[in-house]
Amino acid sequence: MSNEIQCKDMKKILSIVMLLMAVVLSACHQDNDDYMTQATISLDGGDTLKIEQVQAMAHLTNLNSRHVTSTADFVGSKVQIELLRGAYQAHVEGILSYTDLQGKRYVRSFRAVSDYIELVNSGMSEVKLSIIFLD
Amino acid sequence: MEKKLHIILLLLCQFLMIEAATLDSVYTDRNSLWRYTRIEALQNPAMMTRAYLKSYTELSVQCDYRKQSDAFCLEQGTGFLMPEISAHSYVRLTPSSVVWGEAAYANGKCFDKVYNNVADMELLYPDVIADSIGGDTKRERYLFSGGYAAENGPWLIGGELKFRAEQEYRTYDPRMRSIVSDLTLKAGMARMVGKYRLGGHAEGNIYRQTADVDFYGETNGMGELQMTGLGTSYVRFSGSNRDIFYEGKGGAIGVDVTPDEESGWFGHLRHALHQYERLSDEYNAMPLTTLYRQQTSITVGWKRKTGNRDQAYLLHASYDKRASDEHVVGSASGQDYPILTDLTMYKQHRWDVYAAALYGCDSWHLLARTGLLSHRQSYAYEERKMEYARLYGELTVQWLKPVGKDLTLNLHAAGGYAGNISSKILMPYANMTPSITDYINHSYQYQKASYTQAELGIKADYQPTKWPVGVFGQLATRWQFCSESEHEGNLHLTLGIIF
Repeated sequence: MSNEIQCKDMKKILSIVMLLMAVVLSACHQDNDDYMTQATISLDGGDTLKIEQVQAMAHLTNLNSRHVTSTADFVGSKVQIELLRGAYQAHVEGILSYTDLQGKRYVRSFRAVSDYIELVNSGMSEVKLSIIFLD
Repeated sequence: MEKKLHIILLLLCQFLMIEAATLDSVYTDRNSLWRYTRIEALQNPAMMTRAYLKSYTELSVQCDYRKQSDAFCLEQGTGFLMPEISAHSYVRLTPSSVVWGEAAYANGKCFDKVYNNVADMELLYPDVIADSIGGDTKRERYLFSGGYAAENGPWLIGGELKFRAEQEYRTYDPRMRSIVSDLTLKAGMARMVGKYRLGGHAEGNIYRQTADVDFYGETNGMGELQMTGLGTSYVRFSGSNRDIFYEGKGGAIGVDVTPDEESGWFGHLRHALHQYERLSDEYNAMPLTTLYRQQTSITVGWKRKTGNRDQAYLLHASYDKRASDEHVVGSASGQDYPILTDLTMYKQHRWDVYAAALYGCDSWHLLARTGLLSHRQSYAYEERKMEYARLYGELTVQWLKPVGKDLTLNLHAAGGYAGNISSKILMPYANMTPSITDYINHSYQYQKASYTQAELGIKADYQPTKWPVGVFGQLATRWQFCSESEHEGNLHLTLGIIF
């Protein structure tokens, strides 16, 4: 009889222990290891011109770590780069060729700057930078 | 009449012999290396009903001194001097219930801490505020704890509360000041099942620390680094942002199986989760990082005590993981900074696996331990890694015996060696400043080193039968020699009374 009671008590204790274990283990922190984003920086010249080719250096400064990533791999008006997800400062400076509404082609120096852009999406992130001409 | 007198004297002698044997076993119970097999079970407050054979109260003054010829860990400095007064008590209220308590006050100093301007670095690493200047710090600690445990039939229940308040500060630039409050509540229960006690306990913890660093010198207005691990820092909020605070919380559960007598199988499993959030005071309590700590340990063993001989064998494994999330902060809107995302940038995995054997015979105890320690740290981007593994072995000998009628001596000697078996470092040295490079190289130099340890201690308890209290003194020294031709010396002194 007492063995039966002990057995029931044991089962109860083990159930409570297992339940507690399950609760504690499920409360474990899930690491956020999705570090990188494929960022696309597009240069925006407005509706009156069509950017055809860009030769420029883009510098992206991570605001938290101050780590600077640079690239010059423009395809058309866009550049793609793999970055740590975060908030950035962007600085693009160089030369671009564009055509206006009449189809006339120009080559001019430009700069595109932003003090704060968010590139935080897991997977792809995209931002547009407005350009200003330097000449 | 003469016959009656003989009988009374015989009974009295028997009683005195039993009393003397009890005193010896009480002393052995408190001081013997055999306690090593019971320490983990006593984490459960319910098990405290049978923690000691007899009530005792101990008042003591003690002093610990450590000096390293070169800091083995820069953040912890080259040593400390820590005088402390403390009182411990374990009182049996009724045959089935006990209370216990501890109060302690320590006031000392730490030597030459660098790259760490907070208290409790062992808890909070790597999320500390730091600079390369550092220096000596003053430290003050108050500790209070108390508990109650009772038995009711086959059931044992118990609870314990611990509170620690601490401050650490420096009186010259950089003037760091950290104030800590740390509260832990524990509750446990156990049940007699056959010859075994099967128990479980749960604990909750609330932690808070405020930490700030000031510069009074006009030319010393340098910035502080919000460290994020392996020499990295949260650059955006480093510099003049020197007031932070930590908010921590956590809990643990444990399961124990232990023999009711001193012979049989025993096992302990403990799982603890804690998190410590670092917030900036100057940016409207903005969270900078959150450190998640997970600790799991398991011990299984077997022990047997027969007459004056005892033996125990155990296997132990513990895993300690730290994962620090950096909160990616967006652009301020008024006083509020939005959190864009969290990234687990720093990780640490620490494994410690060992086997131990304890053998006791008469006045002697011998404890042998051998194991493997593996420690890996990494930072995600730019990638940084620092790893080492050590194989270690330790041997401890204890001799514990009454000398004469009133004096009991307790001598122990220990020796050990921890040899490095592997190490690895990966750092973006080209992008690191010279001071951070020195810091990292210094840390790695001592992490990949091998260490030889030697320890010697003596404790003397003097309690004449006419005295209402006993007095005791303890002197111990421990030396550690590093393969980098540096060494560490430790000295421990205690004087106290016990009743």
